Amino acid sequence: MAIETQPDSAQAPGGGDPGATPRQHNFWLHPGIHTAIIGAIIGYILGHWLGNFIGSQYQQVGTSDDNDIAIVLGFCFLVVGWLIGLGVFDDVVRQMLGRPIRSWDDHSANVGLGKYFRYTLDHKVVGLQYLIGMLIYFFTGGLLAIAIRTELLSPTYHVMSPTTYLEVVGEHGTMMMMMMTSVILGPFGNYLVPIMIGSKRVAFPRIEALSFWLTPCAFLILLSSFLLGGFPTGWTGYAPLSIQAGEGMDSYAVAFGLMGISIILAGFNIVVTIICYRAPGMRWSRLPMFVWAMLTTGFLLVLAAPVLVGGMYMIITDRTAQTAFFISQLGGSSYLYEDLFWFFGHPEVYILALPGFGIVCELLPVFTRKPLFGYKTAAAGMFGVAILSFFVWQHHLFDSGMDPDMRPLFMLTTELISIPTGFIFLVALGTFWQAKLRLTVPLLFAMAFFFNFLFGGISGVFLSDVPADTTAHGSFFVMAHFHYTIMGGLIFAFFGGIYYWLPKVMGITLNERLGKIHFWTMFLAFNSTFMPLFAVGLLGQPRRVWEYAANLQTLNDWVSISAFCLGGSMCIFIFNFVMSTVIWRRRAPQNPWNARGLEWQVPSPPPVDNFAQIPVVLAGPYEYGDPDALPVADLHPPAGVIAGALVRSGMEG
Amino acid sequence: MAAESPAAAGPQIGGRRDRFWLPVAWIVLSVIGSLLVLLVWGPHMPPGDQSTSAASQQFDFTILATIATPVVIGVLLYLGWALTFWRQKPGDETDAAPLHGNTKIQATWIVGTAVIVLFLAAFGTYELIVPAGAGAGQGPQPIWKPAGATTSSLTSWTPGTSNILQVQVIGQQWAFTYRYPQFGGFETTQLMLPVDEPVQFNVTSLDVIHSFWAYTLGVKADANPGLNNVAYTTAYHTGYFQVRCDELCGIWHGSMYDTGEVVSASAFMKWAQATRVQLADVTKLLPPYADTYDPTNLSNLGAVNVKLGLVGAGGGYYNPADPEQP
Amino acid sequence: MSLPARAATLVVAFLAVVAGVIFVAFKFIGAQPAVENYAPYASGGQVNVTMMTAAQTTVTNKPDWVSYFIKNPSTGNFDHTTYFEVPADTRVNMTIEGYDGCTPLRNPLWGKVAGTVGDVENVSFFNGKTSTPSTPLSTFDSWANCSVQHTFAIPGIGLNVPIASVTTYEENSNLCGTSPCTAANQDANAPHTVVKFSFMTPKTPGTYRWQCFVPCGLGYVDGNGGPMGTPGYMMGQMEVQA
Repeated sequence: MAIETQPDSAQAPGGGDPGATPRQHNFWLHPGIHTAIIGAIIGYILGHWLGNFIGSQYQQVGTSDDNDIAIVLGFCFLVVGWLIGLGVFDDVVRQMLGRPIRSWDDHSANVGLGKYFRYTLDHKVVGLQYLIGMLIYFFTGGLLAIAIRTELLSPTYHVMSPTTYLEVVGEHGTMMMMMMTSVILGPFGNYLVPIMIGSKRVAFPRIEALSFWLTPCAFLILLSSFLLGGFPTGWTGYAPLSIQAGEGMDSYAVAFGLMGISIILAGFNIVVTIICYRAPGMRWSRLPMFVWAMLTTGFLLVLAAPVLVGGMYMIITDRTAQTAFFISQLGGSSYLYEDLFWFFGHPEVYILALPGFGIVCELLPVFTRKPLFGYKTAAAGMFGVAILSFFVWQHHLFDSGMDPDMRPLFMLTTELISIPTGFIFLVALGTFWQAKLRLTVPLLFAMAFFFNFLFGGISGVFLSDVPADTTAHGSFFVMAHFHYTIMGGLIFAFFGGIYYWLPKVMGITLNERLGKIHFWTMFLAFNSTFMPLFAVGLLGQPRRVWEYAANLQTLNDWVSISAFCLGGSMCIFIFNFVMSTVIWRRRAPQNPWNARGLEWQVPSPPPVDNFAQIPVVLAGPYEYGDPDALPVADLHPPAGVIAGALVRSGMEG
Repeated sequence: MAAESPAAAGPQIGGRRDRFWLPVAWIVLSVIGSLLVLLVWGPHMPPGDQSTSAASQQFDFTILATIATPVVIGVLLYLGWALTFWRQKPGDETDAAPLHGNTKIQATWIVGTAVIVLFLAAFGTYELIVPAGAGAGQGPQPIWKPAGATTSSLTSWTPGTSNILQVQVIGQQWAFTYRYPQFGGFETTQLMLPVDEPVQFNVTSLDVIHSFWAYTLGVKADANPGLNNVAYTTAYHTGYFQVRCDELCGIWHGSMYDTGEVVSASAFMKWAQATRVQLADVTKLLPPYADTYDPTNLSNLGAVNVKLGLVGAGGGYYNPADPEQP
Repeated sequence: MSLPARAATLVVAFLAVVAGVIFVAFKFIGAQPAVENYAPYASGGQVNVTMMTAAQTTVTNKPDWVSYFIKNPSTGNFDHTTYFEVPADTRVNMTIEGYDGCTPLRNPLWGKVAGTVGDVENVSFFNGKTSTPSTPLSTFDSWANCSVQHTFAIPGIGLNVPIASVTTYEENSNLCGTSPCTAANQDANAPHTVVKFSFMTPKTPGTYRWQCFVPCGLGYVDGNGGPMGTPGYMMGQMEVQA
C-alpha cells in the first residue's frame, strides 16, 4: 500500500529550503481567483482576435455575420488564461526549470477565507469549494426551471419569445445535467473519501483541484450563451440542429467539453485514491458503501466521459472547420451524433444515480442502528449497474429509425439493469427490518430517496418496453421519470448528505427544525410537481414545447404552482444554510450522530492533515448492535506494532 | 428469518406482527390494487385504442402497471410500516439487532426480480413484433410488417386489397407535409387516413431531425434528413388525432403540430381524388416521389442558378459539389 | 469577522442577488418586442397592413441578414419588427413590398398560394424604371425560374403566400442595399415587387405564429439558421385580439 511516498523534490512544509521560515501570505499578491479572472479576460481577447484573423476571410463567416471560430478560440484561450492566472501551471514550470515544487502537505498558505479562492492542494478545501460551487450551479438551474414553469402556465399566451424559451430550457437542462455530474463526487467524494479510508491525502491533489477550477469556467461559458443568443437544442445538442444554430451553441459545446475533461480528472483521481491509499486494515469488505459508490462512479466517469468530449469536439469542427461528421447531405450521419452522445449519456445518468445510492447506504445504518443488510449485495448492485450501464444506450433511440433488430436486445439489457438497482432496495428494506429508526433530517431524506426512486425506477421499466416507449418517448413521461430518479433520488440524497456531514466538514450544525420544514415542503412540493407530469406525458404533451393542448392546462398549472412551492422550499434551505454558517455558527460535537464511520472519529472540522498518524482499521463501519464488535480503527497505533495490529484484525494468519 | 446473533442490543420486537401481518397486508392490498388497475384503469389507459398500435400499447401499459402495482404497494407499505412500528423509543439509546443478511431472503429477491424482468422483456418483445412494430419507426428496412399486407403497387391504391397505403410524412422547419405516392404524388398539409386499412408511414426530413408523433394512433417515428423511417398502423375508429413534432427542431418546435383525421375508406378516396385534381399544378413542380430528398443535390435546382449565372448554392446551404472555400 | 460585519455582508449579498435575478428576469426573459398595432385602424371589417422584405438589415448588427419590416400605422415608417396585432374576424388586406432577390424553395409545395381570398396574390413588378400592372398569380416554380424571394405563411390558419421576386439577372444584381428600402434611403430605383393579398383572421383571439419557408439563412446549414431562426427577422407573430 503506497501511503507516504514522496517525490525526491518534495520540501518540508513551509516551502523553500529546509529550515526556511514560512512566508506571510497576502491573498491579493498571490495567484487566486482574481488573477484567474484577469488571465481569462486577456485570454478571451487574444483568442477572439486570433479567430477573427483566421476566419474573417471565409465566405461563410462573411455571409452569416457569425464568427464561430473567433468565439471558440476565444473560449479556449479564456480557459488557458484562467488556469495560468490561477497558478495551475506554476509547479509544472518550476519542475521544468529544476526548481523545488510545492509539497502536497504544505498548507502554510491555507489560512483564512482566502484559501477557498485559490488553487490549493488540500482536498478538504477543494471539497468545500465544490460544495459552494455546486450549490450555486444548482440554484441557478433551479431559477431557470421556475422561468420554464412560468411560461407553461398558459398554452397560448407567451411570456417570452420562442428563442428565449428554448434558451432557458436548454440552459436549465445543461446546467443540471452537465454542471451537476460531480455534485456528490466533488464535494463529498473529494472531502470525505480520504478520511473514510484513513488517508491523509488524495492520490493527485493538483488534478483534483484542477477538476474543480474548470467548473466555474464552464459555468460562466455556459451562461455566456445567453449573451450570444442562446442555443436551441436542449441539453442533448442533437445535430444537425446544433450545426445550424447560432453563436450560443459554441458556448454549449465548449462548456460541455470542458466539464467532460473536469469529470474525467475527478473520476481518475478518486479511483486511484481508493485503490492505492487505503489505510492498513481497510480491506475491501470493510470499505464504507459510499466509497464503493465513489469507486464505481469514478470508473464510469473515466470510461464514458471521453466519448462526450469527442462528440463535442466534432460539433465544434462541424461548425467551424466545415467538417461534415453529422451532415447527411455531405456523407455524414445524424445517427453518429446520437450514438456518441447517448453512449456517454446513459452512463452519465448512472454517474448521477450511483452516488445517491452510496449516500443513502451510508445514512441508513447510522439512523436505524443496524448493520447494512447484505453488504456484498449492495456492492454487487453498484458494480452491476455500472457495468450494465454501457449496454443500454439504444433505449434513447428506439424511435429514431436505427436498425430495429437490436431493439429486443436493448429492451432486455435495460430491463436487466433494474435487477442490480433492485439490490439497493433489498439492502435498504433489510436494513429497515425491525430497526430502531431515529427520524432525523438525514434519515428523512434517505427514506424520501427510496419513495422517489421507486417511482423513478418503475417508470424506467415502462420506458424500457419498446411499445410503451412509442408513446412515452420524448414526452413529459420521460421528464417525470428522470426528475424522479435524478432530483427525487440524487438531490434528495445530496441534501441528506449535507445535513449529515456538514457538522463534520464545517464544524457547525444546521438548524434541525428548519431542516425538517425544508424536508417536508420539498418532499410534498416535489411530488406534487412531478407526479402529474406522468399523466401529462401520457396524455400527449411532448417535451420542450411551449404550446400544448388546451385540455392539459389545469394539470400544467397545478404543476407550475407546485414548482413555485418547490422553489420556496429551496429558499428555506438557503436561509438555514446561510444563517447557520454565517450568523449562528453553533459548534458541532465530534460525533453528533453517534456513528461508527472513520470520518466521525476525527475532530469536527478535521485537522489539516486529517490524522495525526495513519490509523489501523480494525472493523467495518456498520457493526451496530454487536457488543463484541471492535471499534472501527485504532487512531494511534503504537509505533512498530503495525504487524501486530494486522494480526489482531485478522488480515494475516 | 432469524437474526444472526441473539439480540444483545435490545428486546426482540415485532414477531408475529411483522412476520405475518405485513405480508398479509401486502398481498391483500396488491390483489385489490392490481385488479383495480387491470379492470378499471385498463380500458381508459392512454393512448386509447384508435388504432392497432395504440391498442397494443394500451395493453402493454395495462400489463406493466398491473405488475408494477404490487411492487409499489410493497415498498410503500414497508416504508410506512417501518415509520410506524420500528421507531426508536424516546430515551432508548441502544442499537437494534445486528442482522447482516439473510441468504434465503436475498436469493428469493434476486430470483423474483429476475423472473419479473425476464417476463417483461419477453412480453415486450412479443408485443413489439406482433403488432407490426407497435407504431415505432423501424428505419428504412422494417422487419415487422402488418400480416397480409404487401407493397404491391406504388402508383395506385384501392381499399380492401392487400396493397398497403403509403403515406410519406415530410418534416421540415417548421411544418409537416404529407405526400401520397399512390395518388400521383400530391403533397398536402392535411393528413387524412382511411379506417380499417393498414397504413405505411414513410417519415423523412428535409433539414434537421424532427419526429412524427400521432398520439392517439400510437405512431412515433423520427424524421431524419436523408433517411427513410417506416412505421405501420391500422386505424380502428374514425375521428381526429393530434400530430405533434416530438424532437426539438428549432424555434417553432413547440408550434409544430396539426390535426389529422381518420375517415371511412370511401370518404378517403373521394378526398384523395379531389385533392389530386386541385393540386395538380403544384404537384408538377415537386421532385419525383422518393424515399428521401436531398434538396441541395437535384438537377433541376441547378437550372435556376445556371440561367442566372449565380454561383454557390442558393439558400446558403453547403453544396456538395462546391464547398465554400475561404 | 465579527457578527455585525457578517450580518451586514450577508444583507448586502442577499440584496445584490435578488436585484440581479429581478434584473435578468425582466430584461432578458420577459423582454417584449415592439408590436405594430393595426387594430385601431380597422374599419368596415377590413384592415390594411403593409410589410416589406429587405435583402440586408443595415439597421441591426447583423447587416447581412435578410429581414421583414412592418410599417408602423401611425408614423408611416418601416420598423424592424415582425409582430403585429389585428382584430378578430376581419379581412386583412396585406401589402408586401419585396426588395430581395430570388432563392429556390426547399419544398416546392410552398410555391402555391393557399388560404387567401381567391387563392391568388396580385403582383406588380418594378424593374428600376417602370412598373407592370398588378396581375393575379397562384403558383410559382422556384426551381426552374427565379420567381420567389420569401414566403409569408401562417400555418395555424392555413395561409401560405410565396412573395414573388424580380426575375432577371440584372435586377437581382441591383437590389436595395440598405434597410428599410425607402425613398429616403435613396432606394427609389431599387428593383422590387409589390404583392397584395387578403385573408380573414380567425374568430378566436390568440397568438398565431408566421414564418418564411424559403431557406434564406445564408451561411447556415440547410439555410434555416440565422435570420430564419431568430424572431424579428424572418418569423414573427400575428396577435389576434377580440
